[in-house]
Amino acid sequence: MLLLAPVRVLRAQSKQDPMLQQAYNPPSREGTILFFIQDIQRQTGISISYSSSFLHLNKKVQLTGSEHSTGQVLNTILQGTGIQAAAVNGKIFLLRESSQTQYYTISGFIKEENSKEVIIGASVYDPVTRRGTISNSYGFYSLQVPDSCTSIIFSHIGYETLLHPLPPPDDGQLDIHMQPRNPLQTVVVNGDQDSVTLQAGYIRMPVGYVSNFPSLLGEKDVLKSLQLYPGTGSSLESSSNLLIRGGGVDQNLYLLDGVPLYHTGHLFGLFSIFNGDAVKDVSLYKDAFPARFGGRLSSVVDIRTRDGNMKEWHGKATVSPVSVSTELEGPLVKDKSAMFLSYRRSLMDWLYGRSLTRQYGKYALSDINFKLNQLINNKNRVYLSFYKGQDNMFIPRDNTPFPLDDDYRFSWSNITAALKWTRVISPKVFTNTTATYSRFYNTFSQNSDFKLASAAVNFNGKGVSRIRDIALHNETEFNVSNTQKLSFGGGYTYHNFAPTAYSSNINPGDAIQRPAPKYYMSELTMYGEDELRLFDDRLTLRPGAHFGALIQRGSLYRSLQPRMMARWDFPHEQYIQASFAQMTQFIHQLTTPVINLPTDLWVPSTENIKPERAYSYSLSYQKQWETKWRFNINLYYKLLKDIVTTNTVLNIFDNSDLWEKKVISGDGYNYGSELLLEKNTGRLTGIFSYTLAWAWREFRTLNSGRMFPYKEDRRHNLSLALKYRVKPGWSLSASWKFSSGSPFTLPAQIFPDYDWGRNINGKLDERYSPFSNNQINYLPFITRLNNFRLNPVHHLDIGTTIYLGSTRTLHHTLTAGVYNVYSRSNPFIVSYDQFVTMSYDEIYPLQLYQYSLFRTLPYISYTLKF
Amino acid sequence: MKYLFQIWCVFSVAALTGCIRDLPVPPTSGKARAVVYSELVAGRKAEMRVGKSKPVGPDINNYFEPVTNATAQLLGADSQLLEQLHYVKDTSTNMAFYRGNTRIDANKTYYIQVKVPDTKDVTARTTIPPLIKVELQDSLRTTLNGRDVLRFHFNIQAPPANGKQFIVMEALKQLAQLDTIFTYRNVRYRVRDRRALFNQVKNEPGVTFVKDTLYLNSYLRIPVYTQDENADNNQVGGLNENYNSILFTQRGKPLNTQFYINATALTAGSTEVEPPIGRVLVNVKSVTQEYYDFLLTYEKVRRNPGLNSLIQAIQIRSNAIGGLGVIGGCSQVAYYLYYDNL
Repeated sequence: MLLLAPVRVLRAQSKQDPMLQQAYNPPSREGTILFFIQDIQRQTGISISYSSSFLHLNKKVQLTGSEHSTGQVLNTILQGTGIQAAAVNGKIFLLRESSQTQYYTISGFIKEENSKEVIIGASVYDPVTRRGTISNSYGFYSLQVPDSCTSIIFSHIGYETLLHPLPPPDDGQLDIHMQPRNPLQTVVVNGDQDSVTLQAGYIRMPVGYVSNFPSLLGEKDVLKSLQLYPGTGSSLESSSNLLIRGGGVDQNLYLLDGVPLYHTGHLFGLFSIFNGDAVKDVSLYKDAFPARFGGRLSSVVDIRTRDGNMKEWHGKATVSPVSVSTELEGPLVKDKSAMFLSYRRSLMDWLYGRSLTRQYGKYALSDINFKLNQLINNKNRVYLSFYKGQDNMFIPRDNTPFPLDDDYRFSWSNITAALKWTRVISPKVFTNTTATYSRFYNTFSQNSDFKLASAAVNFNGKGVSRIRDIALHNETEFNVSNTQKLSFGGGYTYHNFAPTAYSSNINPGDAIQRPAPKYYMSELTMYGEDELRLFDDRLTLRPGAHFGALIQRGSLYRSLQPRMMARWDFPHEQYIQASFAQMTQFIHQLTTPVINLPTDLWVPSTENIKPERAYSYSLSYQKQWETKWRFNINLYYKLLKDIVTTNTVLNIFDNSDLWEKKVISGDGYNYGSELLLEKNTGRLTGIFSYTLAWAWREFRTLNSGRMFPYKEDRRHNLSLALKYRVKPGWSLSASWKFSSGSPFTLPAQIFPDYDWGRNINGKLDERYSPFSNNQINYLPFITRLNNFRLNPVHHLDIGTTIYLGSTRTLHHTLTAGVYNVYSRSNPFIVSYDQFVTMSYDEIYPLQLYQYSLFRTLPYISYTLKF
Repeated sequence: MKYLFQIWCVFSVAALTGCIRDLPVPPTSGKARAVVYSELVAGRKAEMRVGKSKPVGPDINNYFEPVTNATAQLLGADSQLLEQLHYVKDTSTNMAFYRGNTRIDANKTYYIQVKVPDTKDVTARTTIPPLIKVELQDSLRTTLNGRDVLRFHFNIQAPPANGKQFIVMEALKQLAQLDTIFTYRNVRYRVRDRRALFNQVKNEPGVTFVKDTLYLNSYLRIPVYTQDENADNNQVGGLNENYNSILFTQRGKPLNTQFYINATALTAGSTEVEPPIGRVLVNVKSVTQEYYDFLLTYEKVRRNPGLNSLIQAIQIRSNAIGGLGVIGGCSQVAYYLYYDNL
């Protein structure tokens, strides 16, 4: 009872007690608390009573040298612990200041046992109180634990759960090493993360997940894996174009190790540029955006690449009939620095080049990822990461399917580089500072012999489109307590956009030589966020604000974007969450709808073009059954303001094509509901997701000012993906995806063409008009835009992964599967009338033509690992 | 230049080989509409072209039957009938052609009313713009981005009372048929009709010949260009592209601009594409806003009809109430250029 008594009462009674004034000469100035307590008892014979549950006896303490009594020594050694000595009934009691529990902070990095690679998103919690946190993007965690806590649980879906005894408070940083689970076991997603920092509109895919399910040509694709989840989709079958809740492709912020990317597709978006082998962790935010993110309206896709193994050298090579992928990682200095290098390349041009080049042309893609990870000390670490992706395409003029006037060459590349410095300022404060460089560069050339004027000319034209960003950012996390976490930071980005610069060897004559438009802009960001847990952790509030400003000659745009997330936790792992976020997008992509072309033009907000804004509301409910099942349902509504579009096709290889004149702005309304059921553990795992959604657009000058379905509007989206582990080393997987047909504008009527009706024949000069080969004698009468739906897209894919065993240090794995098992003809392009139309005089039937992409397509790949 | 879009087509066609399917077009309950094209030009007689649309549905083709039984009326501002236009039989015309005798006046408002059996009546109102004042300062053969072009330097006076004027510039080649009329025994014959007789009697005394040029109801559109950033073609494409017509919205100030037409077709037989023989018409027009809006959207549609799922469709503007097409008022200055030996 005395231990529970308020110390203030007892202190008044015992202050002058002789027991505390009894002379005592400590044998040394340094020692643990336990050492001094035992020594006082031994020297003076006074009994000291205390509870080891709140007093950390092994804590090292130092005396000042001026202590000469029991009371003075006890005061010094208990300083800062919240414990006071009180003499009562012939004993000295060590009592708490008050009856409240005392907390102290533990912090450190969570790493993989063998490679020392940091683990993102691991749960860290006190098993008694269930209070916890998760490791951040750099593997850092900070947690306040009560003094009654004796051990901490560290868990992550890809690693064996670890129960770690709590060290003494002054033992410094607590770095944890977790043992990976057998990589051939089922990898689960968001399995045991019951930390409140996970949100309903947040999807995180860890390493290994990407290869869980069958994929087109066996290529592991991060963005396509995300498309299994509700609220996500793609514009076309098997496209890596990611669409989030009715938003456009340009409304996603793609961050590769914190560096923004502007073009994420290889081969017109059929594959994403993110090499699945190089990726460590993927996070997708669909709503409740943390305040640190800004700049896009619909989502944030945060991709972290692997850091490299700090212990041993390892490598991997995967070969398939269409591509080869290799990786190498290892320590440069053991436990101090590591590197990771991966390279991926398509093989179509090498293996089948001769026959294909003649008929269709040549295409090759490659990706290289490199990361250097240097540990300076246990508080400071530096990362240097680099990525280059390249596409090269050549189309000869005399190709078989579609003869052209010119030979065409395209070459587009992404380069990103990031230098990061992470620092543990104190157990409660973690900060990272990042300098980044991002460049997208697209060159295009054409070559032909043709007659423009009376003499034949050898024509050479070259176009360049470029984006260059240099940025410096800082993010700081301050774990004030277990119930409050502050995040704040800011950054500066220098944008340099040169959307189009075209030149040719043709004498311009009277044509005005217009300089290529260039834009130099400064973007400033600042943010602050406070995460609070109230009512015994049942209520979580996360108010925040993101401020962005775009400064350039002639215009200045500022935007303060409030963010709010509120969540109420119910018993039995249930919660309801509501969120609001305003997002502002300063840059715009003027794109050919649907397909992902490297010529899609990124342009800034200008005097005439305002930033785009989104106001996003969501409400969700989640229930989890231990770590096995997760059920989630979401409702969302998103209002888009000042979104831009063009109602014509931009010709980027003409410096005189003034894009600002072609841009119109309007509003958008996206709403819907999402459902997710996920089984995370056991031999059979899988995901079922369903989305019911609407996406509308409204532009004053389109569709008579009335709302119309957005091009990417899909009413129903359904995914079912299953994986069954037959036995260790052998798994089977299957996925089925369904998506409602996309909207298409089908004319209500056709009527005689104006020129044709007046007997005016002839067509435009094709060379300077990209689409003039349509010479049709009718005009379409369109009553409503996007009034017709194409056929739904669905396909069943199956796959298997077989671990073939190992020889010495080499491990062999075979992956195979079949895409589109039942050979569904999915609409890829649909055209009313034909692409290449007839002459004016020809009479022919008018109908819809559906072009499909892939029918049944098998894949196989072999992986060698050491 | 087809740029990436064409490359994409190549890729698609290559990848999609064997994966093309006809899709059924859903049946429609829509009814055909009357289509009226009428450019009412100040100082000229009223003309209309009348046709019928086809509801999009299964089993249709791109053939349009001429509508020869329409009732096409021109009415004054007070809705009084001015004239019923008569059908002009011409088998060479793609749409039925109706003409009246009323000369259109500038600054005057007209209504048109067209009745086509089994369709809704079409009505439209248009006010003919004031006479346009154009000064051709010079013309010059030059080159533009490697092309032979003919450049016109136009100065168009500001519209009255600081109003707006919608300017359209275009170039056409009107095809001509060359013939000879011979008189034999006081009877006139055309050589093309009586070639055998002509060959038989041409050397006889008293036979006289007169060369004749017949301008046909057939035109060739000549691509036109501008380098003027004020041109509304900027809303359609780049300034190095070519267009059906060059369009300006003139606000209060004189318009001083260079207009280029492709010179390939100026002279018949001059190039391997063998342009037909005829005369070149360069029209500078001031048109009504509705007509201008139609032409601007028409320019977009000509460039890209948007009939496939990759590209957003374009909606053509129209002022034909109850039907389709356009009824536009216009005052124009036409330049006739004769490069061919007629």
